[in-house]
Amino acid sequence: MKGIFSNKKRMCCNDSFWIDWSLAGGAFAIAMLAFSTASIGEDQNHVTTTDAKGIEFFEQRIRPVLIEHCYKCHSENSKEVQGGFRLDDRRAIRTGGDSGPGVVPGKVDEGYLLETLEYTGELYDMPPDGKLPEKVIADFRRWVKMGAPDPRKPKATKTAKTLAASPDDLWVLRPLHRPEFPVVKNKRWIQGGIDRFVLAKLENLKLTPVAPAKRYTLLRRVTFDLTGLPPTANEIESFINDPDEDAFEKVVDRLLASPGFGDRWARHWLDLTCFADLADDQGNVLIQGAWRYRDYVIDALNSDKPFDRFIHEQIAGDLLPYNTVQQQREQIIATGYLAIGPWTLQNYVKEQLHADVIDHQIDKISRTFLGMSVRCARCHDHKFDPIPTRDYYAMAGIFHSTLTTRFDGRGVWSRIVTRELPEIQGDQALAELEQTLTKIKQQKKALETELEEFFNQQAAEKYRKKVVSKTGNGLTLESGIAANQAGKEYRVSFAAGPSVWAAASQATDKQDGILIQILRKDETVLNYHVHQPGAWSSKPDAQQLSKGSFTYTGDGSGDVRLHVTASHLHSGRFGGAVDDLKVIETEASQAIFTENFDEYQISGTPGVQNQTQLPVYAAGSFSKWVGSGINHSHAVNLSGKQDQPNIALQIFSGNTEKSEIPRVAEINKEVESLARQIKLLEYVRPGVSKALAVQDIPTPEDTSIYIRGNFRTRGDAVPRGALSAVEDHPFPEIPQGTSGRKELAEWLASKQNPVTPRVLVNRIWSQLFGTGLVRSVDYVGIHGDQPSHPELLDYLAIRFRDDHHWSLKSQIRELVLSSTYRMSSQHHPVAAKNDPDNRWLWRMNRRRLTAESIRDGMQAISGKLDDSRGGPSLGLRIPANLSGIDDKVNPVAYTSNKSPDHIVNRRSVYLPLLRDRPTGMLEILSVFDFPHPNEITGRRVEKTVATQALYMMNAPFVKEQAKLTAERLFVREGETLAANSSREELHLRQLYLLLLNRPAEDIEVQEAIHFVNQYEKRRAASSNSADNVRLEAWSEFCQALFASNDFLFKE
Amino acid sequence: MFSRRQLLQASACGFGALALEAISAEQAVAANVFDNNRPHHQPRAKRAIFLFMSGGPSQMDMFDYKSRLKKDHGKPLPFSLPETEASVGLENTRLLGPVTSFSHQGESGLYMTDLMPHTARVADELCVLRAVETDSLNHPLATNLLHRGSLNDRLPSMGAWLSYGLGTENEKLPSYLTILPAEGQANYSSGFLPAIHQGTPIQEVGINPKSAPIRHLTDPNISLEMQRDRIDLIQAMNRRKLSRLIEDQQMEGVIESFELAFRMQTETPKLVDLSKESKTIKDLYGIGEAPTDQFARQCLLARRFAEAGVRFIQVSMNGWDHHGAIATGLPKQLKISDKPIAGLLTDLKQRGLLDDTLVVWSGEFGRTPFSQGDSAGSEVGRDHNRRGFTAWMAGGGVKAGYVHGETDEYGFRAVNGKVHVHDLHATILHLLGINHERLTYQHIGRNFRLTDVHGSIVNEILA
Repeated sequence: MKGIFSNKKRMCCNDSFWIDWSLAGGAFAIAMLAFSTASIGEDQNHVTTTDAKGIEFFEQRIRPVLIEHCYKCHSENSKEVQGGFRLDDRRAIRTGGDSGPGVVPGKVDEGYLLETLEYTGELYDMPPDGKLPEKVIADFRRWVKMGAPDPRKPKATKTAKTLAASPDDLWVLRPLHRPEFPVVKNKRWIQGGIDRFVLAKLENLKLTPVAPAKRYTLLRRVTFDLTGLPPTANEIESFINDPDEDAFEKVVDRLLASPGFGDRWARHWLDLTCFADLADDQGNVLIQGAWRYRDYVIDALNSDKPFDRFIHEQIAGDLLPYNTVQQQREQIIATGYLAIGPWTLQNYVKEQLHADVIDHQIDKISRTFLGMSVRCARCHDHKFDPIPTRDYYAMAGIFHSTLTTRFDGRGVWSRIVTRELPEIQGDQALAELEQTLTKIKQQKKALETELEEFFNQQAAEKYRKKVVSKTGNGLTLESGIAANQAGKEYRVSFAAGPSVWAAASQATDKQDGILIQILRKDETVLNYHVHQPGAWSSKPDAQQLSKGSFTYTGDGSGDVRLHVTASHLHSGRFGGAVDDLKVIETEASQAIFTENFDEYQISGTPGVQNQTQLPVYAAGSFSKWVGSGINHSHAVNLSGKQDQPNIALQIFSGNTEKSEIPRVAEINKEVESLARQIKLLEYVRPGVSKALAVQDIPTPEDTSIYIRGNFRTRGDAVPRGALSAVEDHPFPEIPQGTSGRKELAEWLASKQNPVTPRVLVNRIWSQLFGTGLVRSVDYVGIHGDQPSHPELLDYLAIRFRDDHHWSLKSQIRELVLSSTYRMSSQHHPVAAKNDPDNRWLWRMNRRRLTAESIRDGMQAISGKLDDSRGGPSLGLRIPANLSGIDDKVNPVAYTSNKSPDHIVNRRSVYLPLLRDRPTGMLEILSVFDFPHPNEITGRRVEKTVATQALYMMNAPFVKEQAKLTAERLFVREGETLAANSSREELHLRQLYLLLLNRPAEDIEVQEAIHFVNQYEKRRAASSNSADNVRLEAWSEFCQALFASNDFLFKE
Repeated sequence: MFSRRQLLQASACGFGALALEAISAEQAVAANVFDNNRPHHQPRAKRAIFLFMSGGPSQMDMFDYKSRLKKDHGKPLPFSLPETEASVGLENTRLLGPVTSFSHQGESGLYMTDLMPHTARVADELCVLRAVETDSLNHPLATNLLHRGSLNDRLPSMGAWLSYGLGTENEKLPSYLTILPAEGQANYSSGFLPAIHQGTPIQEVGINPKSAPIRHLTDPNISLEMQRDRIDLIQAMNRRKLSRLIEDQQMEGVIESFELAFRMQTETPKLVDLSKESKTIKDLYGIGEAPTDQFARQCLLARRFAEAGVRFIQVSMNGWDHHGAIATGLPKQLKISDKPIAGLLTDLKQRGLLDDTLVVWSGEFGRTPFSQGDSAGSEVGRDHNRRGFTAWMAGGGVKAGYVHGETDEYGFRAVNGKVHVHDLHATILHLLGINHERLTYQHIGRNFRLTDVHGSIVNEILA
């Protein structure tokens, strides 16, 4: 019996149209779900069905159960036949439903009815409210075994296996033709083709376009629309004063050429791709290099890469030819489009993970380029769009043949596939990292040397003077040994290695040492030696001991005793493991004393070292030795065998003080920090030359339909392809041994495909006008919006594809130079009455600034915006950001999101985007409807909530920008600003220009002055007095301007 | 493939009946799909408090006693584990009997652990569901399902649906509040629903009345009077602009939002200031004593918000994920949660609020009746179990002192009276006056609902 699976009840997507349909009386809707595999022949079992005894059995034992427990949901009269499975006639119960045959006469191991009743099936446990009594189930088994005799005649079924809609019903699938220009009366209004279509419609409806926008308004609008930033004071001055007829064209060309263009439009594309700097759906799993894809998009847009090329590179860049290494790199990076997404990497059912990744890739592509939710067809033919399940699996085959995530068998986590980027000359990032690494290593080395010398020269004197174990844990020989003849040389030899208690967190580190002192009778020190066995490595052989020795010369003062403890000079917490301690008279090569530590009295419970699995003991005792301190006699059993122990002493001093000597503590701290940085850089290094990128699997092939979307129930294989409903546009043949991504890109951007250019120009329109010609920009299916201006949309699609050759910049240029774009957003009573939603474009839509424009704009105004661009955003060199580098099972987590100083004031697109709505320094983005990075978002919602008001009034970010803005305007070196002076008014007027991009009106000046005077008065009345209340008041005023609709909206 | 004729036929008969208005701008459509702020039927509860026990509380040690499990403690498993779900640390697994003792409580005789003495006193208020099921053993996935009705998709959460369906009772407050939400998991998202339905997190339950419970609630640097001046200035500018524009709904909306923000700014701090509560009340919840203090504050806030008319209040508690040392860990956890929860139920009842407030207590899943960890020593815990676990409800519209459903003799699988998480959702919506099949929202051309295509009302537990 196969296992029981976690997705038993989630076979179908959530779609409430089921209910609507049944209410609407649509009879066909239910049955079209059926996608059954071979039905069971009616005739072959005909004989048994007439067997009288069998029929009697059925009537008595089976039929009543079916009626009572099953018919409600699985019969002709059900509100909706669940799973497409009816049990109310002979044929239906055998044919089964979406999950395959229900009953196979005579075969109890086939058909899913029995396992479903037995609650052991793959898909369902039925009846849902509790298992039937065993006796009843046994009856069913018996019934199936006897050939499932069943007198019930097949009912006329309504299995219209048809699609919901035809390509003919769907405008977007119709072939694309260049429409004729309509005739218009007001020819003077026409700047280009666009205006003809718009004006014709308006004239037809007896509406007139409102007046053009004022220059201030227009400049603010187009600057935000094209670059996401406000115009500067200089830009305003120069446009306002430009007498040329083509002054506006000059502005548009300047903006299109500015790098800000890519920053702003890339963000729109990233909204559609579910881009984020982290990998997994719910957590904070680190991926390196997502920024490369972001930079790729920005560069592609700034260099105006033709859009069909852009599509090709993102879907199949790795499969395309290239001329230069740089190009090859770019094309690999471009496939980050597919590789980066909201994956549930910890899903331990890996087939499910793959299916979900593929589902998302299909969703992303079909919504972005085709404006369709192909995803609905994962489990059943699309309910209303002409997308059969086969189309879904045709696309799925392409991505099944593509590797996006990989699981290496440890833990539960998969990881996103990365690809080594071909080296380019002078890869500065890698070179810089290597340099930094070398530098840090040198620094560390120098410090360690310093420390070494320090100990040798000064601190070690301590050991010469007295026994240092009294404060910590140490062992002293109980009785003296005769190894102290004057002038004779003695050698002390031993074996030593690093030691660890149960967990590696309690282990010798590199600077820990074993101190062996030779004590005279009076406990003064004759000689001493510090041995550093090195740091515990966590490797299986980490307890390896190696030999060490030192010599001393006797002074004839009598027998000596050995004292063993941890060296206190460095850290002193762990010393190391010691075994085979001997004192030898050098000349005679004769051992005077030997100790193998095997005479060990165990007390307490043995523990286990995590990595070596060796038994460890605490607080036992060694014969011959006297211990001091607590836990003085730790031991490890090196043989690992209880019956043949080989005990070594583990020295643990218990001194957790690093060092009492300030310089030593300082060095230790620095060394530790450098070691962390080295570890971090070494972790980061391999990623520096890699990109998150997909690749073809070794043997690409078609995939089978997953019945009801469940990967465990497979149907027929489907040839790879895309939407079958796009007429006269067959999918290109996929060469043997390739995934078909290249062909998919070809298919999407082909001249025969009318959908892609329509959907894309509609997106561009929507970005510039606030709503699309089709308002549902991500969905142009049957239930989507109809285009308000179908000819205009087709005209633009053709212009974009054929005339502008997929150039985004040319297309945008054409749009913003139209009279349609240049209209003001003013009210018009007649038009407003007839067309309140402005569907017919009698004016420009008033739009709120995007979240990034609000943030970036405020920073630009305050003077704080940093215009440097590109590169990583995650701050991987900040140790606190990464956790779990040593974890062998779980992926490294990006934990604290501390941004490197050099990026914090950059434009939003360059800041770290985690897989959540932004928080922290980017909280403002979330407040103003920045989309969740896991959602494919073609058109952001524009909501008005109190949270925004609270944010603008109280958030430190806004206050900071307001303060900087006030200082920028009202503070001049060497000038004391007099309240209510003409100079103050001048600054105020400049403020209006800078912040609202228009001159202040007189009433506004009066209002402002009144406000700051009032503020001063109130401040004076309160106990809190400030140094510069006037400036504070202006800062308050700036904040109010930022919070006003004049700033937040573009006209 | 399908013939064009077939395609045409299908569309002709299928869509004639559907009035297909231009469905596009989502907000515009919302009103058509669901008539906001009006229940579908007479509600039994006006609001809900959801006590989310993050991590997966151990049902066998709290509400679902199994004598067979106790008897067979230490024996190998009598059933095989589903291979696809094998977890770590189960190599030496054995049946693990209840780690707490049980007694009958209240007139209903609810058999429950002795480690919840306070809850025991309100046992007769509980409607215990002993056969709840979910679809994943992964914390994030199951948590997502419990909050949003889907394992993977970021759909609107339950509270957002309720806010969308029923609106608010108090204009000064958001309709959905979540008190100390579990970190890193935005389970209070409004998904594709308008942002106004998103849960507003209450980040702070401390004693300091100055600390802002809602982000950016106040400006500590200037007086309220000065803040009012600033708003007046902004409003004057905005009104002047609006008068020029003649009409603009969005601009009007912004103006209103500033007024609401100011009301929140003045009202919320009073509402979250627990210092005015009597000592009796504080003692009832366990405020000011270890270890209940923080959770008690969360629960008391929940009561205050309920009283103030917030529609959906979530209280989250971490720490139920007892993979190891359950014998010591669970009692500690119960000590923290018992008194505050009992206090909440008692307090709601004595104020007459329990009649129309639905309280729901659940984890994202439960725990296994077998051990996880090295040996049978005291260090072992229990793994995640999605096949049968316990949740309870109390208050508005559910049977009090009632037990529904049962698991098998070990407490591993639900066998009778199964309640899937989707059913839980359907039932919660039902009690609040909403038909879960009719509360829909159109998004990317499709009608979505909280219960996906699933969910049946658990009629047996309705009072």
